[in-house]
Amino acid sequence: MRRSGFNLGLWLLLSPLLLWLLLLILLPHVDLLLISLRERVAPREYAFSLGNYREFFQEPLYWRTFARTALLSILATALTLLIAFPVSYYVAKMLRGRIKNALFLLCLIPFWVSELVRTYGWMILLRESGLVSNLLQWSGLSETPVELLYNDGAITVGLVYSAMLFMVVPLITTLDSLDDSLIEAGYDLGGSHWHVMWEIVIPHAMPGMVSGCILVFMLTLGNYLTPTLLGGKDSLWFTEQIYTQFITRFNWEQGSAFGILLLMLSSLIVWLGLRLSRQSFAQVMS
Amino acid sequence: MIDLECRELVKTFDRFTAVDGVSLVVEKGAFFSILGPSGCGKTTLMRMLAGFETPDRGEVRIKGRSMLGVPPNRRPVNMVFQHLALFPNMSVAENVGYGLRRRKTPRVEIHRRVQDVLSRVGLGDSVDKRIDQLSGGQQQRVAIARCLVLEPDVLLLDEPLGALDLKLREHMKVELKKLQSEFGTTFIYITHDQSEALAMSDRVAVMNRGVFEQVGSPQDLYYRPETPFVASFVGENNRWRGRIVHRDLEGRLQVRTEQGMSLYASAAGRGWDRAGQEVEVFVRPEMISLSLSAAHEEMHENRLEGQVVNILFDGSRSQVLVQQHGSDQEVAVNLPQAAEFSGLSEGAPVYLSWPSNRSHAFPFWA
Repeated sequence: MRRSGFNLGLWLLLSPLLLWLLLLILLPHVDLLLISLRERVAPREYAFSLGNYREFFQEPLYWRTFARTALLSILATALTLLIAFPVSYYVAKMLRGRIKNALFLLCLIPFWVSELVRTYGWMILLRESGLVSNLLQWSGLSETPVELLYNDGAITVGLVYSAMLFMVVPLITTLDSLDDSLIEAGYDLGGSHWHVMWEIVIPHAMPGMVSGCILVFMLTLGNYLTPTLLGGKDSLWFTEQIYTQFITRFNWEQGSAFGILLLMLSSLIVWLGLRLSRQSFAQVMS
Repeated sequence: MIDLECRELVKTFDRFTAVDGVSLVVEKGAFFSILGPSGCGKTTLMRMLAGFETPDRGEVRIKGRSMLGVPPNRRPVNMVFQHLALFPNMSVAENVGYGLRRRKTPRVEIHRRVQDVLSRVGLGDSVDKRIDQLSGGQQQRVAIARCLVLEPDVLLLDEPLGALDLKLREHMKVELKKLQSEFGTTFIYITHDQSEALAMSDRVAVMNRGVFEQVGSPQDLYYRPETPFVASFVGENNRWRGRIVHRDLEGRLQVRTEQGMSLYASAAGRGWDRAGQEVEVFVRPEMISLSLSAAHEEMHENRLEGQVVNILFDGSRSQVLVQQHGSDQEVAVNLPQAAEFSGLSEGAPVYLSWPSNRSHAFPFWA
């Protein structure tokens, strides 16, 4: 066979991926960065400026929304992990055969409908004339209708719910690969449930937990629909600020700066998370 | 002193009975093996001893204390798993110290005892290594040290040599036996490999279809098998099927085989050996003496002529396949190392003989 430096077959196979990366990921981001670094001085006339970034730090509403989004996303990620871990452990380690597949499928089914429909589902439950409110009145726990929507609690519930699958899948996969005899050995040598969980199961599941957390955190931070619908007008999610700048104010420069800041924030937090959990990115994503 | 006692243990899964009324008594410091083919229920039995399965009926007692309702982490029993189950995220010392840490042993003492047990198994300089830096045999010893450091009353071993290659397995057999006598711990060893069971054990139980066929010393099982299963599972055998023609006063049976040959054998067990009863006769290849001439001083009651069909060379364990005259049955015979047999070739006429007390007849119920 001919061995040349230029392997046509390989490049043809790689081309969809390279095109995708270049055209849809790299180019828009470069453009976003360029737009964020300019200022309109006159119609159709632009100059280089850091003003958009200065604006972000000078206007408390912007950076407070930014910090609030980050904190709520971290909270939602932690809650997702806390809820998904027992579920995944139960599916991966306690069940066998058909029932295991059935339960796994049950975790998947909600994701067959669009996020919009699922969020409306939560609104039907939580609104003032909704199911939960009626239940509280019927049981006598409340005299008047209760509005459960449009607060941080509702946003968190919605975010956890819509991200659950992306935590459950990596967790079930890593827990599945844990040899049962390691767990048994942990008990056999005198370990309690707590010790076996802490010294054997969790260290093994760490890559899955971290990759699940990264996925969920990214999705949550960049989520627009759920915070807007469940949080209402005052939800103050950072993606809404970006939307406002681009669509309502036609201030593309400011919106781009916000976009770049959000990207930097998520990269920073993911990097910190990896450092704290002593995982490498390659290991977590494998 | 009795370390472990089981009474009438029964365990069923759905409609399959894995263990069906097994009773056993193991004395302190004994090396007790449970030998059986895969699927005979030996692993289920072991898991009931360790506490991972609850028996449907019956009871396990360790040092006289009933283990009913006692979870695995509170039993004075430790287990060496088939694939060792060493914790990959811990070093050798952390693996061995795991159980001591659970008992809230002081740090200094953990360090001392881990160091002590590791040097006793010959791994004193591997304390800080990772598990994947050790060879198969070394991992084996870590797995055993991890249990022995806890000074259990009984150590359970679930086919721990299964994953090793042949050479290492032979070596670990000797090693295990040595460790057991050094530590004086009661070992219960599960295997499907008869040579492991025979070489290491004080007593062996042969298990088949959820029941113990025979419990005895390795010599008992080898020389005095009580059931056809034991006779065929422990060691190799030639078999003939036939009918009893006559039973003499000493209990010796004369059997006429399906091929029309007359054999003398001793009856295994009593009360069934009437004339006309269908039987199976077992003779081990190593019990048959081979000679090149018909007139030989070592001739026994059972004689047979034939010619060599094949020579299976395997060093000291070489065998000759001999085809009986007037029959298509082949008989396997051990090849003696004497000079006169070195020139033996295919087609050569040979004479076989063996005493009646070395061939065992079992009733055959069709």
